[in-house]
Formats: sequence, structure tokens, C-alpha cells
Amino acid sequence: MDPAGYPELRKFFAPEITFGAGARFSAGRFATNLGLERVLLVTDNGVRAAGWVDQVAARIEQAGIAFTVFADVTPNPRAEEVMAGARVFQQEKCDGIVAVGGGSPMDCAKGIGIVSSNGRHILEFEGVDEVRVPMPPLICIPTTGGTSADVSQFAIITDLEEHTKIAVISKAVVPDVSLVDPETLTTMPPYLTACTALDALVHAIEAFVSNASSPLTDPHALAAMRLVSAHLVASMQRPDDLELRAQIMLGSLEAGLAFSNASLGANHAMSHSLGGLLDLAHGECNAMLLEHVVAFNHAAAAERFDKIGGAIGLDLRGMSTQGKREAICAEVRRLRRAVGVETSLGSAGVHRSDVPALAKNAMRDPCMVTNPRRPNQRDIEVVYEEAL
Amino acid sequence: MKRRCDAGESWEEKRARIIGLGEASLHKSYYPELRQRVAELERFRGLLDHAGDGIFLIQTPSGRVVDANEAAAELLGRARDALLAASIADLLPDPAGAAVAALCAGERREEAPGLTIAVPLARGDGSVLHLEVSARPVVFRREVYVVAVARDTSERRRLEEQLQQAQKMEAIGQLAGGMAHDFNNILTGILGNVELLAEELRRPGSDPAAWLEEVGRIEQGARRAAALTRQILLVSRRDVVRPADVDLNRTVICMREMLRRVIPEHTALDVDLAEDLRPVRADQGQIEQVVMNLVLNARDAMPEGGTLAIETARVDRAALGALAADAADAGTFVRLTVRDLRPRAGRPCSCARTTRRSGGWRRTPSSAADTPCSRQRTARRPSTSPRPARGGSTCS
Ligand SMILES: [Fe+2]
Repeated sequence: MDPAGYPELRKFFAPEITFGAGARFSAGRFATNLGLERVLLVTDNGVRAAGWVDQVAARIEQAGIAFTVFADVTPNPRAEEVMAGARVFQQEKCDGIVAVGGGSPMDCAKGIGIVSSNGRHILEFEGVDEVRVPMPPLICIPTTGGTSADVSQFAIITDLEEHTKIAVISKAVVPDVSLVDPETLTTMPPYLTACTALDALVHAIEAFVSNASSPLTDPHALAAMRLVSAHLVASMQRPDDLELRAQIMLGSLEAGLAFSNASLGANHAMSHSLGGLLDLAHGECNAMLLEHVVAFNHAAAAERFDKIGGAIGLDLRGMSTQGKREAICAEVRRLRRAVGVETSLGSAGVHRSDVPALAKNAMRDPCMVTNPRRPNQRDIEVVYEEAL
Repeated sequence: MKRRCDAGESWEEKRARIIGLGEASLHKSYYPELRQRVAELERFRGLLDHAGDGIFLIQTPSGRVVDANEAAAELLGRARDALLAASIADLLPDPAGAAVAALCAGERREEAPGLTIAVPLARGDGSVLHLEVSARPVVFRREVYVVAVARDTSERRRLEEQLQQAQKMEAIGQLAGGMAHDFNNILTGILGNVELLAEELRRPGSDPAAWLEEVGRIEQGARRAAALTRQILLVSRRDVVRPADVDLNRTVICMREMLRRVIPEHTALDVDLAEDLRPVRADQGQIEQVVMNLVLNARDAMPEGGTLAIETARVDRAALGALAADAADAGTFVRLTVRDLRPRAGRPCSCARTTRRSGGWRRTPSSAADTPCSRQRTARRPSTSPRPARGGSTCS
């Protein structure tokens, strides 16, 4: 609220979303609706092996639309992969993109779209609002919970030369259509399920305490925290329970809607920096840092953290501020262990000597500017060191 | 190449842009571009509709018209909507309609050469238009179409006829001066003879045998006058084309007198006629007109005088090369050449016409080094000194 009592200006961006079992089958209809004639199907080989790509391709073909598959995408998509995909897009005279998979194919697809309509190297679009020419229509079919690249204004690309990840943030990269189908989660390996769900939880928490949060994003963030914290452990125990999968998928979607509009914070800034150095899974990086970032931020947004405590099922009544903080951190730790994500930065191969460089990169990450507490580089180094 | 996020910008500014408050914080809008494209399309449509030619975009291999401009509708005297989805074979008169439809249906049509066909079009109001239909294949978005352009050449043809007529009238004007002089000479002779005859008749006891001789002279004079008149009629005639067997040598000989009158005195007329020439199938009047035009061109190309050479020759098909490439028969051809030989310029400008037995003229272009033939003409006093030519035949 500004001094006059009016809320600050806020925007809320979201794609056209279809949520529910079987949503993936409407890919052909949406592609037709967007006027596409030749689609680039961006995916990775894991998702392809699971069979989801063939199902989507069949629907696209049934709609009379030609397609070319581009599956040369590794976890943490690299700038070179984006450029290679953009070349295929141009060579095959594609006019739209369908991304099937987790965050990597979707971020790669966004990069391909940006490059094919703007005609420059993907790394030139680092930052906020650098994408000026709208990219071709993009339909996302997420097959993992968590990343929410299917609804977000973010594309995270790895710059191998600089050993870091760059963030392209632009309303122009919000996909046109998101087909969120919980059935696609059933082929995910358990550890990846855990990592992506924890990533969704981090999205929700960071979006809720973000200094860009708003009444438009808060309900989504809180709903996401409730859904993920309540159903994650059970979903890990009963991986074939479609109803539980749907709860996790919905939680991930709610988190995505929240963070795409309220942005994130130090946790993601630091995690991007880590991912650039070590090629670790994104959700894993976030999970390793979460309790330490919560501890660092707590004082700057204590009231909001109280609501977070409530949303993840804690009763914080009567506790001191420090006690509440400890309780939230402990619950995060518990959840992490319950789903088997127990690595620390040290066990993942990060050395103390890496910390200054990691902190320096994290300070430059655009996610840092919406962190509730404004850190200096030394603050960030300390958080990394605590997480070692 | 890269700009880091922290370059020269406060966290507050960056935060505002992440929230979506930046100037460039836009999702996608194709609408402004769409409107611009639509405006461009409308402009282009207007351009197309106001083109003088009827333009058809035809689907292949079906031969259905998928688009046509307003001029096409006007040309055919039908509503534009009635053209769309109609078959091009039904819209254009044959042989043009059939030829375009065949182009649409052909194998490897995308590589087919274009075609141009002249065809008369009977309109609903009874009038007849002369159309020139050109068609060629084009590829849009991997689909092969044929674009046909129908041009109304009626006006052009009318102007060409008018021009030909004007040229003929000009030649007649030039002739008339000289002929009036000649005619006067003949009449003077006839009158003199008539006076002489009258005197003889008045003289008692005159010899009738002497009268006969005078009468003979009068008759000769009158015949010369009649021949002159026939020549004028020949030139001024504007008949329909009547193909007949025409002897080019004979034509040249008969015209020689007349041609001599349109070229100046200091220009020699050299006529060289082949002896083995066979007749050609053509219209006598048209051939005379062609010869006259060529001679006038050659004359104008050498205002300083020189030699104007007319020559006929028999040639075979091979010697004609590309000129006879589409000739249906293998018959022999006849060539008539009109050349201006300038003493100083040293380079002849040849304007030749070739015809074959089944009819049809072809213009042989001047060789590359030639001075172009001038089509301009200035009135000149006709010369009255004919030169004898090789070859012999009398005019009737
Ligand atoms: Fe994330």
C-alpha cells in the first residue's frame, strides 16, 4: 500500500490454462486454433521414452499439422541448444512451438521462440523486458510438477562459457497455452518428483514474501503451499494415486501463477548461481538452500512467514519470533528428509572457495531484487556457507 | 554482447519492470502488425483491381479460379463473385481457356514455360474484344498456382490500324503530287493529239489512215492514265485480307515506278530479283503496304542519299533458324530484303521480311551493328527517274 492507502499497481499474467487428466490431448485443437501449420515439438529424450511426446504428436498430426521433433535438450538447457533449436525451427519453416516435458524443454522452447522471431543470440536477451518482438505461439505441456515454466515469464538458460545461468524475464515469454495434465507425472522418477515438488514449495514461499507480491498473487502462493505440503509425502508413497498427483500438479500450477507475477527471491538467485557452477538439478539446489534463506529473510517479513507457517500446517501460536523461525526451518528440513532430498552443498561438491564467486553471481541475478531483505554480497556468502 | 543485469540500473527500477510496469512490459500483440498488413493488403487489392488487365489466380490442377481482380470481372462482363470457384476453361474463350486449363493440369506444371495466346471474346452485348491471354505458373507456400493475365488489345489494334492507314495516306499524298504531274503530261499529250485529229478532220480530203495513228496515240495516253489510276487505287485500298498466290517479283516490279516517286533523286533504286522465286500465300495489298513501309524507312535512314536495294531470294528452313522454329510445315521460304546502303556510313541497315508459302510474315531484325531504321518520314519531292532492274515481267 502506498501512503494514500491505495494498492500499488500490479499486473497479473497467465496463459490460457487447461488443467486436468487428459489435458494433453487438446494439443492439436489449440495448435489449430492458433493457426499453426508446422510445429516444432521441443522435448527431451527422457520424456520421449515415457511416451508422452508420441501421444501429443499424434493429436497434432490428426489436426492436419506437420511437426518436427527437437529433443537435443539436456537438463539445464544450454544457450547452444537454444540456438540449434532455432536453426531447426527456421530450416523446417515452423510457425509455432509445442513444448512437452519439464522445465528444461520448456525454457529451451521459450529461448527458441525468442531467437526465431528476434534473430539474435539468446544470451543477448538476458534481463528484464529485453524481448521486443513477440515470439511464435507457444503451447506448453508440463510433465513435471514444480518448474512452472509453462505459466511463467521466466526462461533460465545456461551460459556454459561463463559457468552461470542467465534469466530472461519478459511478459513476452509467457506461453500462450498451458495444458496441465496430472497423468504425465506418473512416469516421473521418485527423486525428481520430490525435487520438483520442493521447487514448487520454494516458488510459493518466495512469491509470498517477495516485495512484489500482491493481493492477486497471495491466494495462489498460499494455496500452493497448502497443496504441496499436505500431499507431497503421501504422493511419494503412492506414486500411482492420480488424485494425489493432481494435488501436487495443481499446487505447482498455483505456485507458478504466484511467482510468475510476484517473482522470486534470494533462494532462486543463489540456486541459479549454483546450477551454473555444478549442473545440479534446479529443485535440488532450491531444496538445499530453502531453510537457510528462510532463516535469513524471516525478520524482514515476519508476519508473512507466520501465514506461511499456517499454510504448511504449523501451529505457531504463542511462539517467539525466533521460535517461529526455527519451527518453519525445522518443518522444511523434515519435509525434505521425508522425501529423500538430503544432500547439502558440501556433499554435492561445493567448496568454501567457490562461495565468493557463487555469491557474486547470485547478487547479479534479477530474482534478487524482489527478495524481502536486501542483502549484500557478504550476507549471501554467509547463507551459502551455512548450507555447505 | 551481453549486458549484465546490474549494469547501470537500480534494484527499484528492475523490480518495477519485473512486476510489469516497464514500457516494454507487454505480452504479445500481433494486432498492430495485423492491422498494418491488412492495410497493405487493401492497398494492394486496390492496385490490382484498378489494373487495366484482368488478373486470375488459378488453383492447380483443378483449374478453379481462387482470386480475380475487378478488371477481370469487367472484362468478362460478370460479377467478381461469379468468377470465384468457376473453372478458367469456362471463363476464357478457346483456345485460350483450354490452353490455360491444360497448363494447370500438366505434369511438372511448376516448371512449365508460360504461354501467350490472342483470342477474340464475344461479349454479352454483341461486341467483340480482342484479348491477349498470358499465363504462367507461380508457387505460393508450396502450392502451385497459375496466374493468367487477360489484356484487352482492341484499342491497341484499332490504333495500329489507324496508324497503318495514316501511313498509307501519307504515301498516297506523296504519290499524288508526282502522279498529278504525270497525269497532266499524259492529258497534255492526249489533248494535243485530239487537237491534231480535229484539225485533220476539218481538212477536206484528209487521209483516214493518218487519223488512225492519232487515235492510237490517244488510246495509248488514256491507257497510261488508267494504269496510273489503278496504282493509286491499289495503294488506297483498305480491303479485308484476301490470301492468294502472290508473286513477290511481280509485285516489286509493278511497284517500282511508284517507289521511285517516294525516294529522292540522289538515291539510287537497285532491284535484284531471284529467278527461281515461287509464289507465296499472302494478301497482295498487305504485301504492297509492307514493301512501301520498308522503302520509306530505308529512305528516311539515309537523308544524304545512297542506294536503296530491294532483293528477293529463295531460302530454306534451316537458314532461317529460330525464325522458322514454330513453322508448322517444312516448305521453302521466300525472303524480301530492303536495304539502305549509305556511301559514307558504310553500314547497311537491313529491314527484311520473310514469308513462307502457307502465309505469315516475320520481321527479321537488323543485325546488332546496324543503325536502327528510322520510322520518321519527311515529305520529299518524288523523283521521276526510274532505273531499270533485272528480271522481267509486265504490270497489268
Ligand atoms: Fe524454481
